[in-house]
Amino acid sequence: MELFLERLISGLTNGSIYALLALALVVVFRGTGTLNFAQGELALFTTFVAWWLTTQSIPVWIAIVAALVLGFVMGALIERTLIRPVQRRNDMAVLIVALGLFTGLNSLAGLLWGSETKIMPSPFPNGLDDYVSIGGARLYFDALGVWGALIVLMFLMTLLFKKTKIGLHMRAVADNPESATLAGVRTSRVLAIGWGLSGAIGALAGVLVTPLAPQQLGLTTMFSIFIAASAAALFGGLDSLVGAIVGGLVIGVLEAMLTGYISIIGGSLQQTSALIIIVAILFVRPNGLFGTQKLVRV
Amino acid sequence: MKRLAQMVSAVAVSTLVLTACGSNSGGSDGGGSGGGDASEVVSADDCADPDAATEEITKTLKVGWTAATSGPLADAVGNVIEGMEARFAVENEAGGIDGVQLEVVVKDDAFNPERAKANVGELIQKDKVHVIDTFGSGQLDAIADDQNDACVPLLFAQASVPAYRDIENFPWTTEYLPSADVEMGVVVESLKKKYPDGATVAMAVNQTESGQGVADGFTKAVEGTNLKIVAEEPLTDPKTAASTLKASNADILVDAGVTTDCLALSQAIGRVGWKPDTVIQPSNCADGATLYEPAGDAADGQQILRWLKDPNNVEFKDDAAVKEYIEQAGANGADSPLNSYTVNGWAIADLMVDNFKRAAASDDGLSRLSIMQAARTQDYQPPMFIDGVKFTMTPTQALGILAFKPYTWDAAGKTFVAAGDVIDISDDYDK
Repeated sequence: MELFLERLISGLTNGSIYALLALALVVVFRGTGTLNFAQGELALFTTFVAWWLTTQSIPVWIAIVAALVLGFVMGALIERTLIRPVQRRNDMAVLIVALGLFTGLNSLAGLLWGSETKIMPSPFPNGLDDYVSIGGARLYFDALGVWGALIVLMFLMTLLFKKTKIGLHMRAVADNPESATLAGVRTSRVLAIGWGLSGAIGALAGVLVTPLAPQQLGLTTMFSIFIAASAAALFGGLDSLVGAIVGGLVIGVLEAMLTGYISIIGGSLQQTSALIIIVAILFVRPNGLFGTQKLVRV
Repeated sequence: MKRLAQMVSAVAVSTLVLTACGSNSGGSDGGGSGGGDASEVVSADDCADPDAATEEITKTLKVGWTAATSGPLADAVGNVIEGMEARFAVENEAGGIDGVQLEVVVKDDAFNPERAKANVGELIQKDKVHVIDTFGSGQLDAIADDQNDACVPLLFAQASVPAYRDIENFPWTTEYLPSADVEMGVVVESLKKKYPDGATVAMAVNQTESGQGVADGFTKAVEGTNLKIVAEEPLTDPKTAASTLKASNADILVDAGVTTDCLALSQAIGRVGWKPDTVIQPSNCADGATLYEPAGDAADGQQILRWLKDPNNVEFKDDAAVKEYIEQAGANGADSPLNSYTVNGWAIADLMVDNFKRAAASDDGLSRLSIMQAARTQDYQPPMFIDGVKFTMTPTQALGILAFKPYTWDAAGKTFVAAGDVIDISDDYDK
């Protein structure tokens, strides 16, 4: 039982990490219908900034806030200066720009901070004794912090989308940008805010994830996380916040259980299992578990 | 939505395929037996251009690198090359190899084996390099056939692939990193002394050929001993591996992993509350500051084998070779002389210089062929190798490093502490 609980906790923690980044992907998709392939590297870049600030003796919580602000600004600027001009012409071009940003941001981080592994301090207590025991399994406070951040973020996002004017505008733009514009919504501003929000969520994911990541902070840290987060977003439905969380948690737990109990599969095919999920979902439900199906009047 | 989903899956699958690149060829490791003459195993007879292989090198000897000078490995590779350039600069200042100056030519392969192959084509045909070096097993796989066909020596590749220790099939290729079989042989020798009544072993194995090579080496080495492997888990997720291996309650944990696994596994066993009596880390996990210190008490007492002097370690603070190295490396452009990769680059250059000098002194003079023949008969201790550790090659044995010194990590002192004398198993491999 202890072993099962340890694997469950590990899976839920990894799943929360995937869900955080998946949420960022969903926010952009809801606004623009685009999967932001640069999301992981944007998070990596802001995490490097947060790490660098901590090396300048700035407290980790302030470094995190700075990373969130930077993530928001970078997300909004990317939408305004790179995405919007090309999206008018061709949706495919947006994907190409995102892929360009993927390599560009990674290279820029390497250029500025080098490729050696960095140790990003955790904002939560993360010593060997900082845990609570559940049935003999250890739930560490930093993992609990990621779970808590996910719950709080979900709550705030729900409030934003359902109880605020800007959230209403974001939903209107996601549903039908032309109609939203005709109704007086400043679409361009809403889109920039959506990308900014996504950048900030990604930044939060990055700084919370890195202290828990096996490879710590390096140029490849977000790579496998982004793959799993994409799978999570797709699994849940690319336009569903709840779907992103369910998708992330399911993939995280599935990976932990596969690796733990079916080592012949999980040993070498852990990431592949996530990719198989993508393909399987595409066959059965092209819109994911919670994704909305667009209806067109004819 | 459907089209986007299809693109996502295509990109994801492509990514997985790209990630899988870098695996390497198999083969059985091991040394040969008996002595012999280097000319019997390396000759210009089968070369595409035999005259070029025997042509005397005058003025400049070019060493061409294909390695990742961009991307995640850029710092490590950059330090290796800086170490080599610094050592060559010292040699050039002293007059070179009988007046022949040494030059390094570097081409970036971004850790992509296909680019490495293209780079080597250019290095051989356009840059006319006399010696090649590379960083990574996938790179070595991609270029070994070409450099062997062209008879351009590939010396001290930063890889440890058993296939390229086969002198008959790859006479123009040597590797620098120690064989996993040899390293695990030394590990088992030390464990036999520590546990004369036997012990149980758990192994965490990285699912790459490097990791599997270490695991196979250990499994072979414990045959016939009273050390018993009771659990083996993939290192895909260190947390899961640690949980599962903890249940075995083994006395010894062996990390059959790559550099990125060392810290992750230490943290994982610490977090599941497992403190095996002995933890063995692979020799490539040599950097204390980044791979052990962040794990805190979880890494305390972990064991590692080393062959290089660590300029950061107080043990070598009065070592004349280390003092000279720090002074000369720093004075000749190496930004991080204390970095273990820089030390490696310097030591490799030292080994090359030894070969070049012996080749130049041979009857045939300095040529690609004489360099390769010298490399096949090398028996040399670079000053930055720990005393008692040599790099030894014979015409029938291509293992290089056959001895190590054991160290343990002291978490409180944040340093490695010597845990015994040099263990030399060269007698197990006939020369």
